[in-house]
Parts: sequence; C-alpha cells; structure tokens
Amino acid sequence: MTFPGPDINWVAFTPPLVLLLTAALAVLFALYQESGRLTAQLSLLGLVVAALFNLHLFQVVRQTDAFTSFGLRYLADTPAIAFNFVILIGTVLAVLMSYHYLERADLDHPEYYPLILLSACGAMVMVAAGDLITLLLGLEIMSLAVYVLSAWRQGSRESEEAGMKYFLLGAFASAFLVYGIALLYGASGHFVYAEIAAVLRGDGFDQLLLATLGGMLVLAGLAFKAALAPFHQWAPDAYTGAPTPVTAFMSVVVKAAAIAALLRIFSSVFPDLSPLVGQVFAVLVALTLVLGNLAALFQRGVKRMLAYSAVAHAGYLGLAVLAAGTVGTRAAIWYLTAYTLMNVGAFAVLSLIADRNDRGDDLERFAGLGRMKPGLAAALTVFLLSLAGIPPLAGFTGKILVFQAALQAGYVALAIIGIVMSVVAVVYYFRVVAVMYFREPEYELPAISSWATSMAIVVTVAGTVLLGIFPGWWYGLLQAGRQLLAGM
Amino acid sequence: MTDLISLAAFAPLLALIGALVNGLFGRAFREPLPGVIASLSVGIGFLLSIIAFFALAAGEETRVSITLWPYLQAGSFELSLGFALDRLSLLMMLIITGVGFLIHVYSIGYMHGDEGFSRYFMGLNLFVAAMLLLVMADSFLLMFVGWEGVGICSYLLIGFWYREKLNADAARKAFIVNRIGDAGFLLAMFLTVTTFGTLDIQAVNEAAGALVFGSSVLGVIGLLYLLAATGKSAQLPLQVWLPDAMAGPTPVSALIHAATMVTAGVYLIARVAPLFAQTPAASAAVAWVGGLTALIAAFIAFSQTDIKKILAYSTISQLGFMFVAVGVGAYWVGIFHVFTHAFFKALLFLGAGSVIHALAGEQDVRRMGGLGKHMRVTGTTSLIATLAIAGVPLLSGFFSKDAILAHTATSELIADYGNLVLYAILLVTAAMTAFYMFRWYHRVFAGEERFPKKLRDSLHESPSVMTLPLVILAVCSVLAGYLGLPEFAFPNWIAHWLEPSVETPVSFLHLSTSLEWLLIGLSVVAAAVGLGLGYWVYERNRGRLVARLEESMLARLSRSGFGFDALYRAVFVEPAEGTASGLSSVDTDIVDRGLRAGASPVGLLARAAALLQSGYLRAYALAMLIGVLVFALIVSLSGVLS
Repeated sequence: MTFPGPDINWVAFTPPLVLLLTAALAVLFALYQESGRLTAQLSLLGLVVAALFNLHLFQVVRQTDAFTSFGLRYLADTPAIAFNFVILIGTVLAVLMSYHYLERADLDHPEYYPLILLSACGAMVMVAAGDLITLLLGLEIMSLAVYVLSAWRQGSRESEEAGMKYFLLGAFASAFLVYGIALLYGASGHFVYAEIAAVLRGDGFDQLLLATLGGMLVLAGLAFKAALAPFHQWAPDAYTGAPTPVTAFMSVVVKAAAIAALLRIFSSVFPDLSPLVGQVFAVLVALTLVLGNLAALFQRGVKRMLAYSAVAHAGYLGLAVLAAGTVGTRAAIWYLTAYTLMNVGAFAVLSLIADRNDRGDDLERFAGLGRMKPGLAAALTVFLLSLAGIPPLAGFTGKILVFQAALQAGYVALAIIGIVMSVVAVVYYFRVVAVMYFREPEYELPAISSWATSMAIVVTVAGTVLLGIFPGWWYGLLQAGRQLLAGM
Repeated sequence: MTDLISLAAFAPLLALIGALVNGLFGRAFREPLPGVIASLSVGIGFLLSIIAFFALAAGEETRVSITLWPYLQAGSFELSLGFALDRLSLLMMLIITGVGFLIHVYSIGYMHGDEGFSRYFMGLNLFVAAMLLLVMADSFLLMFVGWEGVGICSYLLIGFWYREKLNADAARKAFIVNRIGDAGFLLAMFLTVTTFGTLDIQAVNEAAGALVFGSSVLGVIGLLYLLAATGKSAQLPLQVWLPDAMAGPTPVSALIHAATMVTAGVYLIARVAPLFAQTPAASAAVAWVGGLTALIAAFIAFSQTDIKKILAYSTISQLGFMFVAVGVGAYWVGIFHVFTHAFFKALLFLGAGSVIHALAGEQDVRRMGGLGKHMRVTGTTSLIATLAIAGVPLLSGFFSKDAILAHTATSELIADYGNLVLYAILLVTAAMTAFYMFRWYHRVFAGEERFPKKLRDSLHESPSVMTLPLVILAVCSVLAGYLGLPEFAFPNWIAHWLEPSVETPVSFLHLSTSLEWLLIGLSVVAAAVGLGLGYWVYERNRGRLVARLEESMLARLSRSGFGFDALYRAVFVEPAEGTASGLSSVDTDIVDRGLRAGASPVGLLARAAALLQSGYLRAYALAMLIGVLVFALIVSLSGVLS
C-alpha cells in the first residue's frame, strides 16, 4: 500500500470498490447480452467477493483498530463494516429474488443488476461517510440507481408513477439536505463531522442558531430517505408501485444507509447543537410509529400493508437513533439485520404469490395458502410473526434491543408508544396468518417455481429463527472493535 | 440426584419433537398413530417429571438450575437462557404433563374421524412444549417466550374448525385481547431491567426483598405484571376472550382454557411472590381484580345456556379465587387451587365433551337433560366434579376454596384494603358457584329428557379411551384436596412443599381454633345454601321461578355477559371497522364516510392519515415543506426566546 498522495487507505473501501468494478464490468457485459442471467451471476460473484473483503476488514478492525481514509472523511469502523454486511445481505437476497422474477415479468434487461450494485455501493459510501460531502455523494449514487429501478416496469402506470414520485420528492429532499450542509458549513467552516463538532464545542462559537437550522435541514433530508413521518409519504406509493424485488431492496438497503448516516451524525455533530434537534426527531419518531402502524392496519393489499409496516419499522429504528452512540448504534444494526432477513423474506414469498404484474396481492389471495402451499405459508408465517415481534424470532430481540436503548437514553414515553404500537401491529400481521390458515382457498395461484427465490426464502427463514434463538453471537461481534466519533 | 432432576428438562423437547413429527409426517400417518405419538411424547414427559419430582423430594437441594445457552450480553446486562426446576415449577409440570397426557388420550377418541387429526395433535403437543417452557423458565424473557407460545397455540386450536367463521373470529379475539396483557408483560420486563438490572427471576426476587416496602416502582411493576396476568387468565377487564374461546374442540378447552394456560397468570404472580409481598397496593389490586371477577363471572354463569360457556364462566370465576389467594399473600394456596381446579375442571370439560360427542354436537343445555341414565360413567364422574367445585366437604375443591377464604379473612398484607369485604364477596360467590354448578349438572344429566327422540336410541356412553381419563380425573378430584388439609389442625403437605419456592415475609392473623372451625363452617354453609337453592329451584320448583325472572333487568345483564362485549364493540371494534370500510373507498364518498368514521379518535386519526396520503405528488411535497418550515420555525422561535 504505497500509493502516493495524502492519506488514502485503499483497504478501507475495498467492499464498495469491488461492487463498483463489478458493476462496470457487468455494464460492459450487458452490451452483448439479451438476458440478464449472466450479469446476475457476475453480480452475485462480485457481491461474494465484496463480502469476503468485508469479512477480512471486519477481522482486522476487531483485532487492531478502525480504518480511516481521506482524513476523517471515510470511516471503516465496526459499525460501518457491520452495516456493509447488512447491505450485502440485502443486495444478495434482492438479486436472488430478481433472478427468475424479471424473466417472468418480462422485465429482464441486463442493466438491472449493475444498477443494484451501484446503489449498494452508494449505500456503503453513505454508511462510511465521515463528512457531509461524502454523505451527499453516497446518497446520490445510491438514490439515482434506485429511482431508475423503481420505475423498471415500463408501461405500467403504477411503476412509472412510483419512480417519478420518488425521483421528484427525492430531489426535493436532496435540496433540503444540500441547503442544510451549506448552512452547517457557513456556521462552522467545516464539512468533516469531527471538525464541525470541535468548532461547535470551541470557545466563542456564536452561530449556534444557524448551525441548528442546518442540522434540522440535514435531518429532514435523511428522514426522507429513512421514510420517517412526515417525510414518509413517497414510501407507500413507491414501495407498492415498484417491482417486488426492488421494493425489498429499497425497504432494506436504502433504509439501512439512511439510518447509518443518522446514527453517525447523531453521535458526532448533533449533540453539540441545540437540544431541539433531538426533541424534534423524537416527535418524528413518535409520529412515524403511530402513523405507520395505524395506516398499515387499514390496508387490504398485503404489499401495501408491508409498505406501511416498513414505515413503522423506520420508527422503531428511530428509537435506536435517539440513543446513538454505542448502545443505540448496536441496537440499530442488530435490528436492521433482523429486519433485512424478515422483510426481504416476506417480499420474496409475496413475489411467488402475486401474478407477473405484481397485481393480486389482496388478502383474499392468501386464503387457504396453508393448505395449497404449506411450505410457503409456514415461511411467511415466520416472517410475519417476527415482524410482529413474537419471541423467539429475531424481530422480538430486535425490538427488545431498541426499546432498551431508548429507555436508557431516557425516552420513556417514546418506548411506551413503541410497545403499544407493536401490540397494534400484531393485528395486521396476524390478519394475513389467519387468512392463510383459517380460510378456504379462493384463487388458483400461479404455478411459480424459482430455485433462486426459494433459496432466498430458506436463507431468510433460517436467519430469522437462528438469530432470534442465538442473538448473542451477532451482538457480541458488534461489541468488538471501535466506533469512531462516538460520544465525542 | 441433580442428574435425575435435570432429566425433566427434556420434557418440553419431547413435546416439541412430537409436534414436529406430526407436523411433518402427520398427513401420511393413519389414525390413531398421530394421537399415540403425541400422547407418548407427553406421557414420557410426565414420567420424567415424576422422577424429577421424587428426586427433588428425596434430595437436599430445593432448586436445580440448568443453563442452556447465553442469550445476550450487552454492557452490564447479561442473560443466559435456562430452566429452574424447583418445587413450584415441578408441581406445575406434573399438572401440565399429567392432565395433559389424560387429555391427549381422551382426544384420540374425541377427534376420531376428524380430517385434521394430525394437525390437532401437533397443536396440542406444541402447546404442552410452550406451557412447560413457561413454567420452567428461570428468566422473565424465556417465560415470555412460553407466554407468547401458548398464546399462539391457543389461537391455532380455538380456530381449529376454521370453516365456521365464528371460530376464526373467536381465535382472533383471544389473541388480540391477550396481546394487551402481553404489552403489560413487556413493559413490566423493561421496568424490571431498569430497576434490577437483570431478568433472572430468582435474582429479581432476592433483590425485591431489599427494596423499600411498598415503594412505588415495585407497585408499578406489580401492576404491569397484573395486567399481563389478567390477559392470560381472563380476569377483568380482559375476560371477554375466554367464553368465545370455547369455539375450539372441547379437549382443548379442558387443557388450555381450564387446567393449564389460563392459570399462567396465577403462576406468574406466585413466581414473583417476594416482589408482590413487598407491595401491598399491587397485591390488593390483584386480590380485588380476582374477587370482582369471581363474583361477576359467577353471576353471568347463572343464565348461560351453552354447556361449555357455563363452564367457561365458571373457570373465570375460579381463576378469580386463585387471584384473590395470591393477592392476599397466600401464594401456596393459589397454586393449591390451581392444582385441584386442574382436575375437576378438566373433568367437567371432558364430561361436557363426552355429552356433546353423544348428542352429535349439541351444546345447548335446554335440549339436554336426563343424560345420567344413559351415560353412567360420564354422569357419575361429572357429578363428582360438580360436587368438588361446589365445595362439598371432603372433596378437593372444598379444601382449596376454604383455604382461600380463610387466608382472605386473616390476611395482614392487604388488611388496609378491605380484606373482610373481599371475604364476604368470596363467600357469596362460593354459594353462587354451588348454585350454578348444580344447575349445570341438573340441566344436563338429571330431570326430564329434552333432547330429540330420535337421538335417544343412538345415545351411547363414550368409548373407554374417553371414559378412562374421566375416571382417573374423578379419583384425583376426590383425593387431591387431602394434600392441603387445614393447617391449624392437620398436616398440610402442599404448603410445606411449596414453602421454599414462594417464601415471603407475609404473615396471617392467628385465629383461635374455634374461630378457624367457624370459618370452615361458613364455607360449608355457603356450599349447602347454593346446592340447596339449586335443588329447590330446579328440582322442586321445576324452574318456574326462573321462567318468571327471565325478563328482569338482572337476568338480561347476566345473559349479556355484563355488557362487556357490547361495550368493547362500541368503543373499539366498530370505529375501526367503520374506518376500514371508509378507507377502501377514499375517492368516492370521502366526506360522507369521513364524518361517520370521525366519531372516534382512532377513526379520526386514520382518516386524517388517509386524507394526507392522497396520491398527489404536490400534496406530498407540501407535507414535506410544512415539516421543514415547522423545523425552521421552531429553531427561530428558540432563537428569539433565548
């Protein structure tokens, strides 16, 4: 590693780099391919290689020390690398889900997979960002690809509408973010979190108001990506309109990246701003918990119900963000790991039940699934029970961790709202379970078989159950190593 | 010895294996193989529990803990999953596996020919596994796993015959009402961690003794655990799910909704006895919830006409007795009543099942009567159970109920909270119990035959696979009480046995021997009055008095279940349904339905959410802009103010 120039640590960003190179290679391949199969396989290979690099990085970071690059602009510490794993798992599962789905839905274009990889690459940059410019860069890399992906179903009004809405509102949110960054820079003269925090804390700093306003705008921009109320409204529409594998990807990877960025800022810059920021965010979290869960209660379509449930889960993650720093960060990563498995799993089952245009996700369609497809029904039951937070599945431990983190940070009322809302949530998750087992079949289901999707389902079921029974293993790994910028 | 005791740890695993085998291969098995597998897996668990029980009795130690694996270590908080086999949990295990085994065997006959035969036994085995987990857990967290597990199994089994929409609705209702209690459990757990820094039950119990007597944090924890217990044990105000839960197959009602699961709330409170003993306020709440539930449920039982619903209200009422027992600080007494009640109530339900079986599904007692002649074993055993629950001296129910009454009258823990009033309520309820149970027996087994003539010829006693469990349970219903004879004059085994597990500083007034005998006399009088009145009303008066009272206010109140269902429907269910239907047609008649659904706060909120989610891009952008403007406003206001 004798690269000339100032402080570039290549090891630190090997995983996103591998994804970037794979994506570039896949685009070249795509020029000569009609089908996306080859690019899909190449993408899977790239993801596995990235995972291996990430694993290596994880080992090193746990044993020695966290990496930084470009000064403190790019951080590869335990949380960042753990987030990389979450992103990689989510991406692999999304690719597996897409493998046969795209052919079936007549959407099989080889450019699809490079876009997913690029988006994941952007998410990793966001996760590692140690300054506002890197954050913005990662966010835009990630988002641009997702805008295209969510409108992937050409000719379908819903899908195009989803992409368009997401794009326009996303641009709107980015404007807030950029303006916020400008204000923070104006107030402190720095982009790097550590330096901003140092200035904020320094003697004679008299621009607190300006900085706080900037912080609020940054918060709004990130809250949009994480789908926190009142910036969540794009989510149900985009999630419902996008092809199901893309929905799964968005609801997991994009959310993880946004939460990671929020955690980083909340543990470095925000503590030195006015306490208003935390209070406002607490209100957003409460609003998200209530709105997401109540709206999910009244959905007839299962996909749309899951979309609202994804909003609700952003609220639970928000609880952990409020406790950012060591406990909250770990709780959030753990929760996201569990959420990735169970949420993608649920969407994977959905993609095998709905028809090729993603129509027909009504509750009635699930009637009698327990008899017609016992395996699929059992898997969906596991995912829904886990999402509802029923022990001993992963979702339960995740909820325990985030509630505990919020309580430790002193947000008692919020934790109680969360617990009460998780009681409400059981109603809409269980409605699907009840329909599957307590109703006679009403529809002839399409005979879909896809080994790739089945594999994704098996992996997610196993993960949801094992992670729930042995939560200590993953949590223990998260505790090792160092978290940069925490509790400064 | 420890090794022998540890053997019992395999009991839940065996039940789980039974469930797995039936779940995976059950469809390929021919009847009665799934039933045999399920019965065996529970039966072996029973044997292991017996071995462990005697090993514990013979050995020195009173508690064996078995660590399974570390669950989570986060900072100072550390938790391993494990079992605690002590005198209390082993007694519960004996009840669960023993009564459970008999009910499994009975089910082989009862479920004969049902297309869901193997699915049924899978659910039953899964339930036993979860229930064992609940009582064996050494931490609140693992207990909660079992707690939720039994809830889910109960849900699956209530809705077992799902072709009837009512059954599926009943299952859902049971689950949702239970979740309210579960929220209490979760909140209690978090408060426990915050207060004690651990979820280990024994550690919490030890630490609770060191806390200030009557401190408010203990009171709140106690009240939250009480909320959890009211959900699972169907106490006020969450009792509404249990009568509906009778939609499940009758053996399920016997096992889950009479003998075991519904007693989990009592077990929970007895398990954390040292905590409750430190907080008279929460204990008094437990006792009063129990006392009022006992009274109201007994009152409702007067007018029910479904053979199983009468028993369901009777169960709620008897659970109320148990709550009073653990509320006044007599923890062993509560468990004693759990023990005796498990036998006679399971017997009553199985007897009812036998009747339903013989009458081809008939459940209305108005179309029964005189069945004792035709079904000798069922009739006789049901009579024994009826007398036992009515509190007739020398049968098991008498001893446990009398112990509850006596301890309520002499409780020092809740002496400031009207324990004597509570005693009076219980005494009246005891008489009412004898009355409605006499009515139950008389309407079903005695008096004139009111069932259709054509059924008379095909009427038959149930097969021996069903009657044998009845006989065994009847024997237990007679004898179980002798384990807990009144302490002042006789040896009392069960109090002594449970002492190390539920040891607390709670004390009771010492009465003179003559006063003790007087209390017993009052209990006997209550039972006699109830039975005597029942005899007069239904045998001598031939129900003419009842017919005249049919339209009175009280009778209507009783028939409607005290109006709880109607109240909950009006407050919670209808607004939600109105909103749901309103949401499905947002575009068409938004104003009209909006006004209707807007009647409730929940409806209004969901309405507002739907209005915001209009689908228009500009509306979304506006919402975001307003959000940011509010942010800016807040910041600038804070600047102006400071």
